[in-house]
Amino acid sequence: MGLLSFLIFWPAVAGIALLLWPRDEGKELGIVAAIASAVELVASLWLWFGFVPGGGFQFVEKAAWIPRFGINYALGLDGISLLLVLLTTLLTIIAVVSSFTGIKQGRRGYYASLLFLETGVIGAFCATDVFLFYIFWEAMLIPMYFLIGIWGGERRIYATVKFVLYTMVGSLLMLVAILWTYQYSNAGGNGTFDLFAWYQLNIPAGAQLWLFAAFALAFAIKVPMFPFHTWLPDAHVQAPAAGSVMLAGVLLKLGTYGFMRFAMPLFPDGYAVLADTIRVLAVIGIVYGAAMTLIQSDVKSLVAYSSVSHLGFVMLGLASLNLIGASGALLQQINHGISTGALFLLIGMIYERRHTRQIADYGGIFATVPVFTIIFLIVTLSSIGLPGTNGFVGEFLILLGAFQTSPAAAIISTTAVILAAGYMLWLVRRVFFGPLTHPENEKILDLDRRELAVVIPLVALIIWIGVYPKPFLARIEPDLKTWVEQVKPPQYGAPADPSESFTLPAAEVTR
Amino acid sequence: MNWAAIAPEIILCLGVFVVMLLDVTSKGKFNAGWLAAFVIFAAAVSVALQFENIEVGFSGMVLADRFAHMIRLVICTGALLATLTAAGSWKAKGANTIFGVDYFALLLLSVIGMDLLVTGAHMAVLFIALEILSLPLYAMAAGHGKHDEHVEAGAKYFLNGAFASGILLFGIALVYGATGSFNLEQIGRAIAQGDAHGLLVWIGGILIAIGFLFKIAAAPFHAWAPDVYAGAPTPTVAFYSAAPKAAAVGLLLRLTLSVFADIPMESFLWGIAWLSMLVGNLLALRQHDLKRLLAYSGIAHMGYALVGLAAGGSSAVGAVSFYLLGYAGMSVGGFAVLCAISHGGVSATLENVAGLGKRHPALAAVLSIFMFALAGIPPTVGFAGKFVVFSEAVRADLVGLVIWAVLFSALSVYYYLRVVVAMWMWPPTEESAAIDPPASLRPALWLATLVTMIPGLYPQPFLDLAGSSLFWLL
Repeated sequence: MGLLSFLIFWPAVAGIALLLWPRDEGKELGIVAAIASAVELVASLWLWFGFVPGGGFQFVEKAAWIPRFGINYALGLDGISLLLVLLTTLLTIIAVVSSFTGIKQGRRGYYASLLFLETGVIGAFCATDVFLFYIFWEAMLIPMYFLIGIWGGERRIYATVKFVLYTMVGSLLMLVAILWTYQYSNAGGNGTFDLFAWYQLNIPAGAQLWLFAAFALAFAIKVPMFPFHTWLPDAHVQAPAAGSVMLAGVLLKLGTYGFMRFAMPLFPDGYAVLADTIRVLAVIGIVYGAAMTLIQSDVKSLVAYSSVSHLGFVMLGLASLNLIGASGALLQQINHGISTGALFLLIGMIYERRHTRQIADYGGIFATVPVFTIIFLIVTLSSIGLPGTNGFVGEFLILLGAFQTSPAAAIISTTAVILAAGYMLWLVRRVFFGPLTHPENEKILDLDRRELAVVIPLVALIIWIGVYPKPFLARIEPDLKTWVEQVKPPQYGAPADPSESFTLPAAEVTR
Repeated sequence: MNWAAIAPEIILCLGVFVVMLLDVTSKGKFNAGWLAAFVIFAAAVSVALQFENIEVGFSGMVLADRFAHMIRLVICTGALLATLTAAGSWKAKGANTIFGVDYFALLLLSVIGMDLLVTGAHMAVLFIALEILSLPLYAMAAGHGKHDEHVEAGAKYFLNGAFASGILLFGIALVYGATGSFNLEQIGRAIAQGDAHGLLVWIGGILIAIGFLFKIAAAPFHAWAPDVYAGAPTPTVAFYSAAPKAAAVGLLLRLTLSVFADIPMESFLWGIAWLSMLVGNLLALRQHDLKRLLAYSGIAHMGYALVGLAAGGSSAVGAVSFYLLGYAGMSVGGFAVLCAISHGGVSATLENVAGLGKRHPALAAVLSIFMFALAGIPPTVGFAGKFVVFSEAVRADLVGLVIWAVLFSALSVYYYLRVVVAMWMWPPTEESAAIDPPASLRPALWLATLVTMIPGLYPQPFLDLAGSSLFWLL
């Protein structure tokens, strides 16, 4: 068994073991899940050290699965999926450990769901067979559905059903598009679902438009892009803290990853027609998401709407179709996972203490929880893209890349950066500073050691990527160069060498 | 005479005699269900042993080709699951599950009819097979007449079935008038050579198809199904839900793709498929009674199967066969869970399964698997089946119909998930506390879960089997 197969199925095996555990309560369940996800994290670090930048798809595994349809169990990992897999393993263990105290009932199912979710996500990031990807893509709906529906807030059932229905409509249309594309590969009778073979298909431009639209709808719902975002605030607000971490940190990335890996490179001609639409929707998402945050009274829905804005940036970076923009988009996906994941964790921690997420119920709590405040502030600054944090590197690269393709889009989006600084700092001021307005906040305990252990790695990553992004960029750029070539629609008049589209290597630009 | 052509039917026939003898001698103390299950299993083994053979017998009136073998295996799977379900609900106190040894004799008789339906190569055999199939079903719906709703269900089913038989006979007569033959091969040859009166054959073919569409409850011939499902005993409904439908769809495949291949029926089938998906899914949305919900869901699923039928072509035959196999697992499985729920006298409604996940997690987990499978979510056979059927339809350029199909599938997720929501996310109620699943239902549940999961995770051998199920005729 290869490393990628191990990474995919180890959490599922651990999850089944948890389901068969004789007791449903008791702390050992959380510890077992934590050990399982720690093994997973360590194993995934092998990927980081064993990965050869620019080596194309690595850790490849392939076995016939359904030969009748040319379906293989095919896995592989390039720079694009490498970082996303690492993000997933990191956030999963954090999600598990952060749930020790918050989840008291149905622990077996809860931890098993988190681990099954990890299986689905890593499988989707590593699959190089479109059918296999689709299986993982759909299958991970089930654990997320249970996570929100069973352990969520008051309106959890509404939120979880909405989440599943939205996703299903998109992904079923994608299924039709997959079947349709398969017919092109089957023209000679040797149909296949192999992704690399599909990249070589000559699909007529007219068909590409529809195929791209169907794929894009599925991914746009997952991202979520404006106007397909309405499920997200509901799902986020109702999900348990760890569920929000996984949802924002990892699941949304599957949408942007889908655009990068499937929709755009498979149907470049179709994308060429809709590229402007996507860019416009991305910009609307950026501004609209930021504007909506201003009027939220619930901290969690505030962060949820800010995700709409941040993911809009990612889409803008992808739509810029140059190396800088794409690098920024990929890095920003990781950044968003780290920062927003940390924010949801922190919100979950304070919610456990006070059982409210209303901004109005806090105020001036810096005096009682100084450590919490400082960490929250660092994460906030990263979320608004302060130089020295990871958010800055990502947003900067995206805007730089976007400016080359569409200055107007870049300029409008930059205003949203200011808006973001406004709402996040306003949030921090209303919650933490000023006089202590609610006497019941006087006795809130500060973060304990377990909670610190959970958030410190995220804070470290925020600063590491912010100060020294080179190791990350070095691993993703060679593959992104290939990607830009693959995706760039004909009328953009691609320069012969994609690196000509900017003058300095990206890592130096950021410093 | 070629007895090998009807070997499984002979085994089943012997089974009927043994079961009836037991009824006389054991005075109802013996659970004949396990014996009936064994007989069906033996019949399936006999089919599997001669799977590669093509047996023609009885002056060409019976034709057991690989397609017939495949559909007989599907029928046996569905029937075996349903028999285990009935055996597991044996002598339950609940309102819906009282029946005796004769029940299993009727069940085996009906399976004989189903098998003959897919092996018949002569219109007379087909008609007789349909009646052998149907009459026991009417009686099984009525139970022992101890409950009014059972009797009503039986009567409704009988009246509708008789009507359908009439239409079928009319169609057969027209086709005979146009081609001068009852033999499928000769009919097919006459049509292919243009010797037949075109319009008469077309009307006759449509009427014959309608006769069988009644049996599978495809819209607009579905109206009986929800009422009969709701009224009949639950183990009976489990039996109805898969095996007879597999037989009827199998015969439709043979007729439309082989015998009547030269008659333009695609748009008719297209319309029936679309309407079935529409009616089944829309009406299922508001059901609280889980039996009615599964009844409407069955209408929708026959719509999906007909999408494959409309696609045509030899590979579509394999796709639809595979779909029917998967449907047998998840549908009978679903009804088996409903038997477990109503075993203690609790009626299986959405409200009554509230909190089942807390009280009986294993049962709730199994029902969730069936619901996800029916909704077509991977990695279950529900997804694999839809995948192969829809891919056939896309191959046949029916992209529009497939888009409708997936939109209706997305809609169906809502009502299947509602059951899952009720079980895991609603607080338990007094009724759900009274649910007491009998251990004797476990074999049925296990087997149905395996049939639902294994072809979903590793479909290749099943696809090979289904894909090799070619028509010998024409």
